[in-house]
Amino acid sequence: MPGDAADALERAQVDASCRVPVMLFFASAVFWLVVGTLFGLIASYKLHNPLFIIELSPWLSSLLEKFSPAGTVELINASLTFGRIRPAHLNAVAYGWAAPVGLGVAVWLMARLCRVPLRFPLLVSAAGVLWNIGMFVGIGVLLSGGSTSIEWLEFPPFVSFILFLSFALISIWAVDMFVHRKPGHVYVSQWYIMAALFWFPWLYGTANMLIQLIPAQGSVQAIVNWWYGHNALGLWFTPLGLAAAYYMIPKVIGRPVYSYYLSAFGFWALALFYSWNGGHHLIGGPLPAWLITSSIVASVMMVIPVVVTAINHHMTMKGNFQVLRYSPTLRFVVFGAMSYTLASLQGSSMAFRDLNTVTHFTHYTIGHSHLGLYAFYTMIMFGCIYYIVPRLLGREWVSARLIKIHFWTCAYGIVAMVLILSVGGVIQG
Amino acid sequence: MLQHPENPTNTFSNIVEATKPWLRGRTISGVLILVGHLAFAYHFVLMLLKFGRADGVGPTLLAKPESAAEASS
Amino acid sequence: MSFYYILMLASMVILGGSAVYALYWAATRGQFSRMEQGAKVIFDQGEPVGKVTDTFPGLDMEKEQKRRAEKGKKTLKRKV
Repeated sequence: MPGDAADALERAQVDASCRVPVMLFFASAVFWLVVGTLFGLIASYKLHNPLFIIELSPWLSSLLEKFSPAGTVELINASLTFGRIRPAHLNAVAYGWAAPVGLGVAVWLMARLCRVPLRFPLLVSAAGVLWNIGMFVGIGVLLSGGSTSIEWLEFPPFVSFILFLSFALISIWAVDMFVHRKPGHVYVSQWYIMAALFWFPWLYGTANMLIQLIPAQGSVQAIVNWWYGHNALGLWFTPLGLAAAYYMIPKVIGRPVYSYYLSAFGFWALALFYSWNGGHHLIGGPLPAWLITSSIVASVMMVIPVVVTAINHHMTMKGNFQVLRYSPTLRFVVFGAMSYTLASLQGSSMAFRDLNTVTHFTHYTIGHSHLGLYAFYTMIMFGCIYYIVPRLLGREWVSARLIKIHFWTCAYGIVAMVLILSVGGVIQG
Repeated sequence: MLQHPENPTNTFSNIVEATKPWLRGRTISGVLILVGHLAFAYHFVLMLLKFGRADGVGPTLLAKPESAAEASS
Repeated sequence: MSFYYILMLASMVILGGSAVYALYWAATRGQFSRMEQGAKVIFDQGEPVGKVTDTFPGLDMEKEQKRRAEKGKKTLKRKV
């Protein structure tokens, strides 16, 4: 059957061309995932047992004291204090894991959807190397206490510049790929990716400029800070996650998206409404009322594209849920897609002033952010890695058991974490 | 446990103490997640070290660009 | 202060304008016609509609389906 073979060949060529750059991004992402998770665990433990290094292992401390240069133990203790390890966790998982894995997936999806082998692989690989340099330096600075203390932008300005540069390289690469794509329909995932790659450098650049270079002070800084933070979630991570879900779910089960019109509608609604949401982090703060109110309105309007997406995914999956038993990719991606709906609806509800007075500044918010970035985004990205890596390396995964362990520990883990933090947060409020 | 916000026994430090069991719960769930990630990272490294099957058996039905080129020419 | 306003206004114009332009571009290139076909663009002859393209490693779907049928469990029936 020549048609099959030609298509398989084309796909294999595209995949092979992606191998080095995408694996570079994936490998660094996995590294930062483990590092970031460790940081998160330490941070969490420190909040209820601040002295644990000393408590748990006095013998270790005294051992270190004997065999390492003076001041090592203090250095380690200092670098693990909550004030340093919390931003280290945030930046390691957001910029070390989440961004690179998303970029790796975006690069592969672009190549597949353009149906052209990856152009300028060196450019993409260079971006990956640059990104890692920024990460290592940035985390080092954070652990030694040099944070800017602005949430999501804790890296020192020169590190932000390195990340921005790396990003800009990928965005330029994406435009070049798009221009050289095979003619025909542009799939919805590609719209989301192009949009994310366009929005993010603009967001990151503007926020850094306003906060670091100008610098914006007081309330204005807070507005810019949360405008950036929230938009990083909604106009960067969310589109990447949705792009992946809109490709993986139909591709794995072999069934096209239920309503393609709805998916296009969802995209444009996200584009129009999302950027106004940033103000909802500052409800009750000393800001103009119109800003806060418009952010609440926008947060509610977001329900529309979120529900639309949920319906679309559900109807596409309908009659195919048994495939979950057999496909690791699908398990992760569907878990993620359902979490997207939950996280977004929860987010919209949190914008209402009444609920906000209870939950603002509590652990409920942390539960919500992990629901979004982990249960939605990270789980989808896991699913993508399970799909993409065999196709890049030309080998199957080694152990179904390892995959199942991964899925069930993380699924239970995140559900437990979100529930615990949500209940605890409400009580706290 | 749910008390009125104006209740004077609800000092900030009391509230912080009350969150402790929940934070412990979070740490335990974090351990679970870490285990999952370690399994994933280990598996990922196995793939890098070329441990997976490449003989065409399996879901990915991989086509090798070189061999397919031979087949069609 | 006025510099912020100019920058923010410029950003909004660029962002909004680019979104409008993108919409216009898509509409004039016929991206919104034949939406049904658009949804099928991710399939090809080698991975057509109806084919499951991902399972656990080492899983032989036919054997698995037979095993399940023998045990009286539900087997994979899909809606395409």
